Amino acid sequence: MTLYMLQEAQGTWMTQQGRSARAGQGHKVGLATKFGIAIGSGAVVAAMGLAFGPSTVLLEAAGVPETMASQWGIAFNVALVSVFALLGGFATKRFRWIFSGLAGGVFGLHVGKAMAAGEFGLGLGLDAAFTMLIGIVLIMIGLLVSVGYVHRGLGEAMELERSGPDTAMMRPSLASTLAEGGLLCVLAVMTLLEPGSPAMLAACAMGAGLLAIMIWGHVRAARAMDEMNRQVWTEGLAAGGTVFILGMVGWAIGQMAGLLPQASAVGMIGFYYLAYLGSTITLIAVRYPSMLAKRSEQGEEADA
Amino acid sequence: MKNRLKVLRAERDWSQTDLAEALGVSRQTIHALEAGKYDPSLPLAFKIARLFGQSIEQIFEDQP
Repeated sequence: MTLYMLQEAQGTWMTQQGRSARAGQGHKVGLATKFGIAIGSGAVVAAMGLAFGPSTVLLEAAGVPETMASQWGIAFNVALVSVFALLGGFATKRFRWIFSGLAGGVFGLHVGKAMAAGEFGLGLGLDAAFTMLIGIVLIMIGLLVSVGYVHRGLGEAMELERSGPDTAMMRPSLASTLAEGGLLCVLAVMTLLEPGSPAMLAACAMGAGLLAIMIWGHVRAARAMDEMNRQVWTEGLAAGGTVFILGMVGWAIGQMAGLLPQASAVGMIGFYYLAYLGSTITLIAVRYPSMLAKRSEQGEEADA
Repeated sequence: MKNRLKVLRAERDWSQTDLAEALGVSRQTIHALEAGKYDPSLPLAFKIARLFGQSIEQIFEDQP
């Protein structure tokens, strides 16, 4: 939930707030530059989606049987996500968020594309139009997440180079982000597993471990901040976590009441994204006052 | 809560960054303190008082 989400929705907000929280530095990038970064990174992610999203279609066109093409398409995209996640893990500070964003983007595009194409939803007996709507929403969220992370990476490359990153904060935050990406990958794999099978249980255990890493990363990152940013960070996490839990409880009640399709993994991913969205909105609401303060500060310094 | 941080800082010709580094906090926190948008913890308040050589009451003023 790190944060960061529609991030400025996720992008701008995370770039400004996250960067300041990490390095204690002011925001010096102009509005035009920020828009340029947002548009540019968005174009990159969109181009990636166009290039890699239809991989299944390309395989089918190459004569690969439909079922096999679908499986290889999934494998290809999962591999792509893994590669980007690994690159993010080994990359220097200026590229780690960019690769993480690309990984998240490919994942969001893949799941969203599959949903939009009815590969999951129709098999679960969902209405085609409803399935496509969910898929489109997931694609949009995937793009927003990607733009946010990429934007953040570019922003940090520009802002933190001068003073150096706060490694005490960045490393656990990076671990948390990578664990989150891994958790999403595990959830994706779970959609292919049989409920109750040993593989599904192993995937659940792995997911729980990654979730623990996420929590650890958030806690360590918060400890590395100064007291005001830690307070804001903690409030945001508490609010986001509450929204997340409420979302999960709602999903569970919906399942038990028979109001939601019996599609555990797919439903979990959907609610994960929805909880992510809710968390981000909540975080923005919690942090909005500090955003206003920052703008006031910038104006004050500009006057000076 | 009102405070005289901005005045004290100006008297010493310190920037917000200078003060932030001296106190071990972010510049964002200094701005929030000066703008009255954030009340410091007791340890930070004592640190500020020590840095300026004044008592906490001389720097911070409660607003009932």
